[in-house]
Amino acid sequence: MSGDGWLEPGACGVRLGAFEQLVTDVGRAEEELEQLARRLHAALAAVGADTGPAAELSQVARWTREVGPELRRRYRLARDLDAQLPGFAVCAPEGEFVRLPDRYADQQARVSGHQAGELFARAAAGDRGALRSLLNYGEHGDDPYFAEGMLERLGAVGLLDVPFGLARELQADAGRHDVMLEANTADTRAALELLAKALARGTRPLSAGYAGDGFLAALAVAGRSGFPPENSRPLYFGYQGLGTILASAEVKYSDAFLRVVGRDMLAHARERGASSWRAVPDASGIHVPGPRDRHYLEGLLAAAGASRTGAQILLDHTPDGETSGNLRYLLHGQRRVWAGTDRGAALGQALRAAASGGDERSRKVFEELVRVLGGDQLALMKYEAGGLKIKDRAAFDELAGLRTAVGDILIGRLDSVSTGLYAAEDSGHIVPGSREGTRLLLAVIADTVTDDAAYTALFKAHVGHLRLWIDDQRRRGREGEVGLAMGAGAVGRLLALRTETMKALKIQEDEVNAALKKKIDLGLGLADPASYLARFGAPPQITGPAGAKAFDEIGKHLVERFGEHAEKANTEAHRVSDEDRMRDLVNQMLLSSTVTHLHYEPNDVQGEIFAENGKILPPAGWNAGQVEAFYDWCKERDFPLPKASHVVNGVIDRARDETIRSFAVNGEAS
Amino acid sequence: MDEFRLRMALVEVQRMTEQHGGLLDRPVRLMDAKAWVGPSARAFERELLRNRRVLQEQLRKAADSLQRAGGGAGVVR
Repeated sequence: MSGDGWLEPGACGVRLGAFEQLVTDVGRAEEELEQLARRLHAALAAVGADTGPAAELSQVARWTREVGPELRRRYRLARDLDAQLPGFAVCAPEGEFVRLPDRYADQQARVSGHQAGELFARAAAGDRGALRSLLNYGEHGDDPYFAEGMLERLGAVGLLDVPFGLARELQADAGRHDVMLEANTADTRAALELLAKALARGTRPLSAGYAGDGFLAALAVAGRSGFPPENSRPLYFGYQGLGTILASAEVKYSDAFLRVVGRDMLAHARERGASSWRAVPDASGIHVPGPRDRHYLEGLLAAAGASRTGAQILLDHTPDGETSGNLRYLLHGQRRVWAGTDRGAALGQALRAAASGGDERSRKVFEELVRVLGGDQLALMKYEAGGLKIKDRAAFDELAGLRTAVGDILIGRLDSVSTGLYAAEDSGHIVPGSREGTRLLLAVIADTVTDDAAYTALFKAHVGHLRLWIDDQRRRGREGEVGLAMGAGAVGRLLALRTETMKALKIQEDEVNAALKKKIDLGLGLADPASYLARFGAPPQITGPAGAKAFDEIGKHLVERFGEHAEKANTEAHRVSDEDRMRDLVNQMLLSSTVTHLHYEPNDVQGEIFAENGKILPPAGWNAGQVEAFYDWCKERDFPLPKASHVVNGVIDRARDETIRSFAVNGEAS
Repeated sequence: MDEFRLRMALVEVQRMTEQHGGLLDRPVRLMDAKAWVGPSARAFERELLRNRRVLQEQLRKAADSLQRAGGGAGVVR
């Protein structure tokens, strides 16, 4: 009965001739029914008959008045669309249909998309009025039907030609010192953002407005072809234009887009090979060199960073005919190219998205990251005279823009990081693991902690992790010596890596590390996250040093909030070494956690200097005498002493050496 | 009630039915012939059929009530 199975959901079909007749007929009914109802009412009322039928006819008349104008608008749209796109009709058994969105508003959006497509083409050809007119379409970027219309009008080649044309016009402005240069630049930016949003919206399969698999395939062909399109000796290739579009808006592209177009863009880049280390600019950089060159792949990487699966589709893939995966190519093969552009910042966005999840594929990407980045950084670092040396500072910093993202990834995988850090312990019997794997991970961490923000974030997360782990063990009445040693060892190694890399980089004053250490001196470990946890809830699972994003939060809370109320130092002596500080931190945490989770009766603490009115005071306010009295009190009752054991102390004492020695080539340091 | 006036009214209603009762017939045929297809078209078609039925039923109802009141005497239906 429906007979419209050939239509996708949300679309409708119109046979123009028949529909025109329908619209005309309903329009005529609109006029006549109103009159009919009035005449019927008069006739019935005149003889005193029931006027109910006339009232019912008024309702029918009202219905035609409602649908009539809507039908007319629909007809005009269909007619305009047909005129703009001759030959776009769909043939079905019942005849030739103009296909258009079902809802009127959607039809309108699609026509607007066509208009915008037309304006883009004109703007790219130098029509500044068209460029300005595009500003009126700003809020349409997310409308799927607008996107559909725009992509229909432009086509793949037309789309990629837009950024080249707009850039050329801006160059002409700059060349003649046009006073409008700034305004035109802003308009161009806004127009490109609209173009990017519509491209993202119109390339989502199974969604309204999808431009179709054919469009994605055409985009990949256009990306590889020369531009300007009609030029017999093309100067650029289409993907440079796509790079500009992708860099123009922070939007999520579909997995299909990244699979078909994104992967091909990378495969094409790899096929072209790197004849030089010079960055290949995107369309915006061809004519107007910016403060730094933007590589045309940056936009793709940033766009991939908007979704985990999208980023994984791109990074965890080996193109046909290549022997290494895309991540290795980007991290290792392109390393010197990024050194001259964004230092890996865009790659970091994609990596952060691809490697931060708890899924198997995220783990795979993370492991490849550690292998490749760790390998490259490790080659630049060495163990020398009991310390760390960085052989080539410039080479070491080539991917400096990547560090923040890697820091975030490490926080997201705190469990494997803690385990990996602890595995640097040569005794190794607690965590058997590949020594090489540990060295690579340490190299990645060493690289990351040279960035102040990344180091601070990692430190906070580790502190939060350690504290929650201690609390969990105390709550269960366990000592958890091994886990404690691992956690303390991990924080100790982090501290040591920062200290050593800063020395190796010859940075005299490390204010960041000094500030964090001072917090430990002031009793950071005594701060109790209980109130914070009561507000936000404990992480779902604290079994062993299992990582969770909550550690990051709790760490931020502990470290950032700490100090606001801790002007008076709680520790008795000024500490000199990192090891002493780590011992302090662990002991503070053990003390605070023990008191929080202790079960006792008011009588038990009667007359003790660390208690008042039958309750133990918060350790954050204790002096040295109170701490000692509490230790004695624990001993008398045979409670486990809330102090680092010799095993834990041993790990802390060895943390630095073990860490630094792992940068020695096998056998060199022993 | 004046029988003549009733008969006049009936004749008028019958004329209205002849002239306008089929106002929505061709739109129904056009929809039947797929002038417009799709979700909105189906909704429109349902409403169209309902309104055509109301139009025809109410005209018939008006004529019936006049006939019952006496206007039908001598009038050929």
